[in-house]
Amino acid sequence: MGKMVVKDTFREIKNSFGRFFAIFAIVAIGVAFFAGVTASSEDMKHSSDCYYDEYNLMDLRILSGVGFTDEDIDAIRNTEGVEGLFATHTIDAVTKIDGTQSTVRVMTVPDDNLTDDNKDYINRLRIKEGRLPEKEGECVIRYSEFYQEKIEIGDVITLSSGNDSDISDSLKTDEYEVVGIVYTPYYVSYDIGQSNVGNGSVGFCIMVTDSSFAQEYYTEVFATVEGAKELDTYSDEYFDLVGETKERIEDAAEERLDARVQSVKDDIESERRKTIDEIYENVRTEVREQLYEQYSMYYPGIDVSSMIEPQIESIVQENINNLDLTEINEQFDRAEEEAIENGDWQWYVLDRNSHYSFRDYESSADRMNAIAVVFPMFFILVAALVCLTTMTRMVDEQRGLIGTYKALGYGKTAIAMKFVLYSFIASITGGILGCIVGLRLFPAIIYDCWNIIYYMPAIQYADHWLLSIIAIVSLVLVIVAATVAACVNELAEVPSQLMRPKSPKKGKKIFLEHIGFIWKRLSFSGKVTARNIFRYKKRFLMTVVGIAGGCALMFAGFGIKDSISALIEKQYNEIIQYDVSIKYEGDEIPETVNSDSRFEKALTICEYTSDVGNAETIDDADKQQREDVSIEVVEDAQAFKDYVLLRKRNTDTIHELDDEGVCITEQLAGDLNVKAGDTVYITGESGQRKPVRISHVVEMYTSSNIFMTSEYYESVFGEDYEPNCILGILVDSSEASENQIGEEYLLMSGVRGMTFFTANIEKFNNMISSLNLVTYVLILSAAALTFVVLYNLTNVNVSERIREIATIKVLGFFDAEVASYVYRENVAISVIGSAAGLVLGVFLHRYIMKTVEMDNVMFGNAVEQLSFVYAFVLTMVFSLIVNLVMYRKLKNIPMVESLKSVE
Amino acid sequence: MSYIEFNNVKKIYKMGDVKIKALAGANFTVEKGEFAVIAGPSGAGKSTILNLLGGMDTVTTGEIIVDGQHINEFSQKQLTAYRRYDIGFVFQFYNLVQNLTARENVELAAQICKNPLDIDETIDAVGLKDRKGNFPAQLSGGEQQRVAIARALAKNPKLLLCDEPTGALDYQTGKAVLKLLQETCIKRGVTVVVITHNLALTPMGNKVIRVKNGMVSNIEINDNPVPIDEIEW
Repeated sequence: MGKMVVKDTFREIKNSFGRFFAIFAIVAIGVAFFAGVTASSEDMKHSSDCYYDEYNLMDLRILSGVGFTDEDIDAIRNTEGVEGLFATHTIDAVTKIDGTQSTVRVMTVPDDNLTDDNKDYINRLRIKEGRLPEKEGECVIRYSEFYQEKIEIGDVITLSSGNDSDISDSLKTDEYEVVGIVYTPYYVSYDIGQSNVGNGSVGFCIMVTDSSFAQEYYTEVFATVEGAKELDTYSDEYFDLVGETKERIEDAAEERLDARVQSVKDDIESERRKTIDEIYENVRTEVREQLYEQYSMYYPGIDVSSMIEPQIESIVQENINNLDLTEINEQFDRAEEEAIENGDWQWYVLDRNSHYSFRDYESSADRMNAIAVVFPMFFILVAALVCLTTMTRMVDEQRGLIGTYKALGYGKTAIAMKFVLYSFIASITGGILGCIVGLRLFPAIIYDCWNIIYYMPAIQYADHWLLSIIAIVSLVLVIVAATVAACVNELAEVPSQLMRPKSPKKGKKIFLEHIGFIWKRLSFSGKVTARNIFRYKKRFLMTVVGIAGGCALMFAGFGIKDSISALIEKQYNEIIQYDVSIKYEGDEIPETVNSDSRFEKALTICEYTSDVGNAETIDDADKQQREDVSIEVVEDAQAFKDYVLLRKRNTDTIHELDDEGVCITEQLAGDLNVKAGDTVYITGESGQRKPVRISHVVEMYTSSNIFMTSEYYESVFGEDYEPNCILGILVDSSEASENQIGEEYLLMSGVRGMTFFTANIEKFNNMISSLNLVTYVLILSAAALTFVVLYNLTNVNVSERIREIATIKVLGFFDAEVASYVYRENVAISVIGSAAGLVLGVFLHRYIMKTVEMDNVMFGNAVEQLSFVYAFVLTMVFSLIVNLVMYRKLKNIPMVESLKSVE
Repeated sequence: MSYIEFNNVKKIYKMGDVKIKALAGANFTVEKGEFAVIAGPSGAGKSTILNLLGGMDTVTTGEIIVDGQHINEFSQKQLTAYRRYDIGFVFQFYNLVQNLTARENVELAAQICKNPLDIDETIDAVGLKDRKGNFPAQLSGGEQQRVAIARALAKNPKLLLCDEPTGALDYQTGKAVLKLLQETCIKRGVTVVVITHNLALTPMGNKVIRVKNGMVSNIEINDNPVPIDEIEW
């Protein structure tokens, strides 16, 4: 390649900077979006990993119903692989904030050495304001938006147990002054979790010094694992490493538990011994007294002590043998049995995967990743198409030059090099800029959006070398390939041909002209427009695809928002009609509820969890299997209709439970790949696995359920239906009323748990507000793309027709008429493109919704009609803006162009 | 006062610091109904005259009067209206809209005028009765130029400006086109200004204006123009 070709290329860039910039911009946007959005998921994970490492999040959490003794703690500490260890206490208590009862999770910080390098200070707190608790009676509160105005530093929180036990059994004092507001890596999600005190869901979390606890045993142990920090916490290596230590702790557990059981036994045995010895001693005293009395009567005035001594033992022995110790022994046997049986003699060693907060954040990052796969691909495709058009145009324009180079004796490669170099420089600089900006901008925005529901410190960018290279190279390759494709045709021609003007594209009749009744009705300008649109089919197609792509992306963005909002609306206002579910045992609770006037009505059902599969055996690898599906057995199918609406999605068909089969929720049916009429296998309460027939597939968004009548249940499993859950509709479902009811019922001994749906709605609303922001980012990016595409294509369109436009100017068309001559086409293409985009968008949206779906949450694909309007109108507005920008260019086209020879 | 007057018209293009004098003070007149030929070598300033007369460009100094109107004082909008209603333009390269048929190309111009001529009659008059439905690509160069002339005529202009109308045509076709222009001038009484570098064409005009180095070097009145058939070059 000659030096002059390089020089020519650079001059070309300078002279046609608009075009160069267009390619540069489109690649920059494409790469920025592709790399940025793709990186977001990884940056979220990387940031959380750094956060967890820096703040020493536990790798293992060990729980035991029987608590941990100091020996247990030592055993864990001495287990190979354990690096740091923090034995602590956790309880849930209640307190009143502004008159309403809230559930508080009380956690601890070590009593001393709260320094960053203390390995035993696990789940280190990140201080937002104030300081850490230093002595009894002080606490810090975990920051949460909801409580930030309600509790401030200096306030005193008074705790009570929330059930019939006394708080002083657990805590030395019940009043705590707030000395600081903190974040904890232990709870990064907005939601802390469920509780069995108060209204059932934990409102906020405080940390006190560990010595504030009055309990004999530690209830929870946090541990870190040697070498775990160096690994990516989401990787398999990490879990393998932690898993090894986990197993070793579990091994240690057996020994320790045996020892604990033994010590409990020993305690009871020594108690028994003591009691029996006491009895023996009493017997001996009694015998001695009796003998003393008897002998004293025979030998008055003489000390008979020494006389009776030899006889005591035999009599005592005799008496002892006659004693009936069965009752006492039974009492101790029972006590021993109870102590052993009732105690949960097990250690639960849990890794981070069993921790809700950790999993929740991970799944959010994964969801982000799913979006990142679809959207950017679309971006790249559209960008490539636009560049292809632009480069084809450029090559066309330079026909004469190509001919000249050829005539001068340059080879095809050397000539093509100019164009390849041009597009290469444009795309590689655009790509690099896109990476630099995109990798910072998009992750930061997306990360911040997610941070509305997560409490994470500032973003830590992960390394994205590979991603950058992939993003840049893929787009550069596509564009260079498009350029080569554009050159090939021209290069095939001989120089003399090239130096002659390209014969203009022939006009010809379009299809529409054959439909007389439409064609005749079109005005003259309408006809001209129609013909022009279809003149360059390739460009028409590309423009339509480009606009359709942008419009589809915007539509999908709006659609995501709609679907998620619709989910809440449908799930909680249409499908789930009840306000509260109460798990209970015994017979009293239903009666209490029925006589409680705050309940409008209530229904007892049986609810239990089962695995569900479409194969007879669970381990059939070829078949689908889902665990932990909630089975709802209903006695009164008629009444149940008022509590849960079983219907087919997008129709008004309401299904009724019958005794012939079950209703299965849609997402579950999809996962198992079954439909109405098929059979699935479920497990009964007693553990038998039986096939059931599916009568209907029903709409359900936030859970996976199987509904059936008690009659069908009994006929399938041959066991009696036993209700264990009450669905209740409240007269007043305000938060205050729910708190009140929750407080009361959770105190009742038969109540196992309560769930209020208002809390669920709030949780989902929160998640949605963050997704909304992500959606706006997507919409904005799609908008930018639409804009660039339209600009670029209009630009090509205008420059291709400069002569024609100059001619009609000379003919005396006013500026506005010239504009409308060109724009009518643009508008028509925009309308066609937007319409196509809406259709495409519907599919794109469905695909995205399917991809981002999580376990137990079906998004559905409801879209508001307004979103169609928004996407369409926005596309048209961009089209108009581009047209306005172009207006200046049109106005400045010199009429002298019309006099020039055909290029 | 003449129908067209150029009074000391100067046109200076600025290219950065360089000033290029395209027209250094041109003076000439053309009477109504005249067939004027502006002739001169490349770069003499012919095209500039055409651009200024056609309302496609504005003068630097000087005065252009067409039918009593001072074109040089027109705003852009007035210039457009002037082009629209008063001027018919015939280009060297025909400049037909490729995507429109012959008839539609004529219609494109006619639809924006106040008193357009009947489209079909105009096309018939240029001898393209049977080619109305054809697209430019299906027509020969001569036929395309006829369409262009029909397009210019259909506007019913006061003035027909022709920029090297035969430049892209072969000899015979070129002759036929020139004949058409001459006939148009005679029959319809339209003032025609033809620009050419071909000096052989000069005998066909009532008036021949020779341009050289941005000045009018010579104006020749020809009371008996030669019919085009008799001219050879």
